[in-house]
Amino acid sequence: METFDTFQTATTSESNIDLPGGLEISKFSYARSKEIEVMRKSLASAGSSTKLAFQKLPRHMRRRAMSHNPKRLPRRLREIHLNQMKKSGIPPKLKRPSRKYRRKPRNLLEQYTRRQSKIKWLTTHIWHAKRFHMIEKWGYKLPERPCDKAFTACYRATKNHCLLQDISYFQCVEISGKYELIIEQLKKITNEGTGLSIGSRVYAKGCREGRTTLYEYGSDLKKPIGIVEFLWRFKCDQSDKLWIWIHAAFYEESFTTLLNSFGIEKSEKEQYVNEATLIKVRELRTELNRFRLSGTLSNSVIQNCFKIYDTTSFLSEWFKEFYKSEQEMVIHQNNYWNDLKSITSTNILPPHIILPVIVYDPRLNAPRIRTKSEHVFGNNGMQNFEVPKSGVSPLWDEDLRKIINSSKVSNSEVAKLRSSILVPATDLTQLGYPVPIILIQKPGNRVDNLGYSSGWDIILPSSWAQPIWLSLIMCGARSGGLREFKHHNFEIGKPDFLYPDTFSGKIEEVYVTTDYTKTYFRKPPNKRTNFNKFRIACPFEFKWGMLIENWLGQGIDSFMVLRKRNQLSEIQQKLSLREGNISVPSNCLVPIRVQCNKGVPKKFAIICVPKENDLTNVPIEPKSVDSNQKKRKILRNQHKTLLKRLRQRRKRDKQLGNAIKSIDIGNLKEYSEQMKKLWIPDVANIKNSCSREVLGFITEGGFSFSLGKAKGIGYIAGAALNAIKNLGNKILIRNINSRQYYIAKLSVIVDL
Amino acid sequence: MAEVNNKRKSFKNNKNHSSKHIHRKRPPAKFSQDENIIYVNSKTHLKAFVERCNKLINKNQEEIIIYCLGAAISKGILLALQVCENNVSYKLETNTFTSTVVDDFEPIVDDEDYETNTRNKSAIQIRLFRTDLLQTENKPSQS
Repeated sequence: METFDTFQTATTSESNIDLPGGLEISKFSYARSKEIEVMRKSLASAGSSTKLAFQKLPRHMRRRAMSHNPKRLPRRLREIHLNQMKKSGIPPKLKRPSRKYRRKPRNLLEQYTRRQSKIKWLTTHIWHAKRFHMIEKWGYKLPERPCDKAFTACYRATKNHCLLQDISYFQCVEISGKYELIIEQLKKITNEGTGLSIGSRVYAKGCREGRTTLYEYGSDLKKPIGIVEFLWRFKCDQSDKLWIWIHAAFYEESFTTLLNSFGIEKSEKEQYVNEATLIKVRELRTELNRFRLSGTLSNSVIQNCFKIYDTTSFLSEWFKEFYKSEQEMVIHQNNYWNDLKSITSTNILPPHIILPVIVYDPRLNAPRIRTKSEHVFGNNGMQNFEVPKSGVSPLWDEDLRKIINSSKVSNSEVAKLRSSILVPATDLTQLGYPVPIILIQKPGNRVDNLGYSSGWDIILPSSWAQPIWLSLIMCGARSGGLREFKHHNFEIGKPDFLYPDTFSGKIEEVYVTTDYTKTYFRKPPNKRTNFNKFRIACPFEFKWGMLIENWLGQGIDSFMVLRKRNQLSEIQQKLSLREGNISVPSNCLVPIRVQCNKGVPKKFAIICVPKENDLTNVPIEPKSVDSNQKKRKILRNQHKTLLKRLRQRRKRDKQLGNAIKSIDIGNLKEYSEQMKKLWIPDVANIKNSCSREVLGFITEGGFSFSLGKAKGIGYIAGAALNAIKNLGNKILIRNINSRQYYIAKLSVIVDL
Repeated sequence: MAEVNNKRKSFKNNKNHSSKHIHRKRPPAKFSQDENIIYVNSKTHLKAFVERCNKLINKNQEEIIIYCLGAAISKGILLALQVCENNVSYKLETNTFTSTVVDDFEPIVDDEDYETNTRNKSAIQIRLFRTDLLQTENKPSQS
């Protein structure tokens, strides 16, 4: 090698050419042989190299993002490249179509139907998706809260104005057959002790809507499913019909229960029939929608939005026939609607009444810009409204429903009609088609703050939902989402719709727990609340079963929320009078409401039994030592050294050129699990987890606008009632992030 | 009507704990929702009502109308007198009348039906209006 170098230097320095005298052949040939070896190796490996086609290109031919866009490759390599890409599983990407193409109505619709195939959409989805935070829940994409941060505004709407919600996730099931037979079958899955049953006299005429709790079929009324609302169309023949409105969270469960109770097997049919009893069950999810208006203005909003269909105009065939057969009832309903024009608010009407009306296409008389609806004050003398005589509506008829749903004129045609008239803003209603709707009165709060959030529920044919929604908004209604639904329940002092003893309620609780735990462990350790120091046994979980077991001193299979009204009111009475032993089923939960003058109860707060003197000196939970703190430190140090060792090993391997072992992920997961256990340890006893005995938990808490005070809603163990029977409704509550107790007034929620 | 009366009597003894019905009240009707109209209730503190009146007076409101019903009448009178005492230029004028309220009897057993009961309650309307202190002789025209 040496000689060669000297030879080269000699050639480059031209000035002084000094050629060597001779070549040492052995040295020269040795050096050359090595070079040849390298060349042969590279030639041999060229065919079977691990490189991809574009990586083999010489540097000057390489382009940026070559693998992404094969057109940047020379043509001879493109095919090889595509084949290689197919093998690795990455499909070659297609060009995104242009915006103009994508926004064509046909293509848009195609996209929408594709996106709806996995998850259900509300009819008003697109309107909501532009203005709301959407979340996936119960198989639906639902509006959670408006983007304009209108929390208090939405509350004010329920109080003084009008809040509009699309609650079409309550789905309708139609049961038709003989009245007596239907009731007979439904007795197996509804409990008559908890209030009026489906077969009650009140609902039979179809003039009022009722609600009841469904239980699982064959569970002997032990496994509740959830609360459903129902209405009848009673004709006293084979074709009596019952509509049951079921919340999406427990729809599947309820539907199977209904089918089981009628002895029908589930199949892929549109309509299920029991051949023996001739009872038919039908899902009306795609045919009917439901909106909810709440607030004092809701009556004037619907009065402004809808115009009664003129009975002399016979634009549509079906209306002509319907009017012929039901003339008397239609006139009665129209008169009732006209009487409603002069009422201030819906809360002075008889509760839960049903009023079907047939109105004009609301697009034709909707205001062009959003206008406020005004309060109406008149007719205060006529306070005592009658109940509408009949619930007859074309919506009950299957064929008519189909005609009505297909009779919707498209928005563009309405716009054309508008543009063709000479005087803008002329009333075009005469040209509109009839739309039947069913109004259901909601009495609002009936315990305290009388009449708060009363309003109308509207049942409407689903293809008309979007135009009706828009016109209601144009008439001054404010829209709300799921958060408003929940907050509304809180304000009127009712527990959440999904009860903890139902399957859907349990799923919801798990969802909430994982959500809160995730956020908790996302924080760095020094920002996490140390619940062990506060002696909060299960910070993000309602362990109802364990709580009841602790109070009973024995194991239980399941627990149930106490729903019987007379039992609940008896408990309330006994608690407030401080008298007598309270006897309730041992494994029950009692729904309660707390009110505090000081302190605000939050979600997961614990409800405790006060000791002596606690009511005069409000206690603070004594400081306690976290026994896990040292363990955590040791574990953390161990883990750190382990990580360090592994890192060093990797480094060494890299230096030595050995294969690097991949990280053992199972090991890391185990560590984080262990750590989580040390932050929030498993508990065996909730009752005695802190210095005061725990009675129950707050499921929903905060400041109540309508009360002007802090309020909480929760459940306490029925077995624990006797521990507080002499305390005169006073109990202690403590939030999970504090040692401070607060005194609160407890009352039992009688009307669930 | 006789039926309703009988119902009322039987409920009088056992008002809230009937075995067949739940007694629920409907809210009393309102006459207007204008800014200068105050409905006195028994829950809200008197001081809060006085504050509201003061605010209206500071806004140079010509008249304030106070409505009160039943047990809240004494509170409403107290409110009107206090406001007049603090603001010499305001005079008051009172009307008494009767207001009807409706109660619902919601059934708990399947065989019963909804029933209603109307009650008459004494009510009072107090009109507070501003007068010109220099011309005490001429009463301002009433609306």
